[in-house]
Amino acid sequence: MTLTEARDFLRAELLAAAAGAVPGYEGVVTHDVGPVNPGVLSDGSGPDTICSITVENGDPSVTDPAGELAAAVAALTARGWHAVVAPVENGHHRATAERDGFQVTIHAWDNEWRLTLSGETPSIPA
Amino acid sequence: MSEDLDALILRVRDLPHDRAVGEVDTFFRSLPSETAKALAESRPEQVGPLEGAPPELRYRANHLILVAAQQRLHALVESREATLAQRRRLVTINEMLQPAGKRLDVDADGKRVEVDVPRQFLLVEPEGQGRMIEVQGDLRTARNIAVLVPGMNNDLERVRSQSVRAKEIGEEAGPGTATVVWLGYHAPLGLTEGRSTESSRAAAPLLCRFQEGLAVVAPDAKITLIGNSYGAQVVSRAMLERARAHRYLLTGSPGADPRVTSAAQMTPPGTELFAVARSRGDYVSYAEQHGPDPASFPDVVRIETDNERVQITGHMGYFNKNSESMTNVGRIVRGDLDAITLAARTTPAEESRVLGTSWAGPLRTLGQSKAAVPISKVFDGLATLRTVASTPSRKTVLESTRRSRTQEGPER
Repeated sequence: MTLTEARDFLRAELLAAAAGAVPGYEGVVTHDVGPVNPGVLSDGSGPDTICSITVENGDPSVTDPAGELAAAVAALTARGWHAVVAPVENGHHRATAERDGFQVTIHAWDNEWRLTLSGETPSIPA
Repeated sequence: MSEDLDALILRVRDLPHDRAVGEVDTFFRSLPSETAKALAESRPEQVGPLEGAPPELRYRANHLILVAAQQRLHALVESREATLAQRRRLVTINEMLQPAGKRLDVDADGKRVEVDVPRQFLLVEPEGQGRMIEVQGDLRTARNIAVLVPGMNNDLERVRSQSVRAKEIGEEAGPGTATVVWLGYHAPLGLTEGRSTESSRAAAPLLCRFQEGLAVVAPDAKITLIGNSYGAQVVSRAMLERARAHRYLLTGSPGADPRVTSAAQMTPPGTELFAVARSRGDYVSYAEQHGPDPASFPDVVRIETDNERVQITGHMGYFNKNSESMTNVGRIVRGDLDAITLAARTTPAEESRVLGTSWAGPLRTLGQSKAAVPISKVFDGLATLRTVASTPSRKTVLESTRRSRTQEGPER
């Protein structure tokens, strides 16, 4: 798999999970800047080998962080991801999912209608 | 008005940071909004980097600086007079002028809308190595702000990846968070420069003034100052000069100062939290190039970096997705301090034994030896080769300029 293919795959998976989480609404890609260097905080000279993508979804009239997070996890699980839901922590609903080196984090919050799905490709040299 | 601004800049230059940003704040508060906006438009080079000035004006001023640099470089590329470095810089500036992304919001009727998010800069220095300070989110309304100080080898081209890390920190910290990538200094380019504290000593007062300015702009926000690798050296130096923040986090620190052996020696008064992270096998922390590793201080909070699913080894992974380290960063930034998970107190020697490799002793010796110089130069040479290899073609550069000009910048 090339990095471009990995990026396309991740974006499609995030959008599918986002759509599954919020009835009647499609997810929106809010961040996708293309390949970046994963070791950036210590050594900016490395090659750009990963892509990081964020998708948001939500119905402004509905605030259901636990339900939407569970639905997103179910959607990812049905697509072959291994997902784990973390205990709620001071209003932070969080789940993680992994598949073939791809990593996803799902964030939902008490009193917040937006659900955030953030994913990262495995490192794939050009 | 322009003369008043010049006089102000001259007057505050050598004032203590808190007084300097206070005077700048008072000056701009005294101006009618249209006058202040006109000043940002007519004097972007002065307003853009001015700590204490309203961020909205600085965003606009720095946008204008980028547009001017884009036009200058584009002309050079079109006339085939641009150097390779200038071509690369134009691609970078084109990207800096494009929106950061989108966000979901609601309009006046309560309907969901997609909103373009412009990139917001509190500083841009498009010449030479380059510097920049980028904000994600709204400083005026943020409850929590994370300021991320990048380390070695970050110039204007390579710092773009930091914006992605800042975005992820913001996601971990949750709603009401703004993040800042503070490349307000010339980071060391290569190990040769990284062995010196020249960059961090020059950076510390700049960071201190920035933090004071941030306190003026966002007086109610809780601010976390994060430094990784050489960025931790910068933050440490700034802490020794009493940089204002509520919480401090150092990851992969190469040491603060040879004389600093405890958290108490470097935490400014009123500090809520001073936390550090050192993962197993972090050769940079083990080497203690610039002083004892803060992770070994007896009175520091050392956060956990590993969980059942993601284990971090080495220097590069503190912000790895779904790591305990990254989760703890989010907890620290949003102030869930009770939820932070703590690492066992181990020494570099103990960690080396677990790894089956004796890192600490030899690396500490190497970091301080003459042999480190030629090794650094080999590394630096490889880094340079990678840079040259990624230089874009003239056609690619011109195409990226065309794309960036279809995007709107901040109008504020």
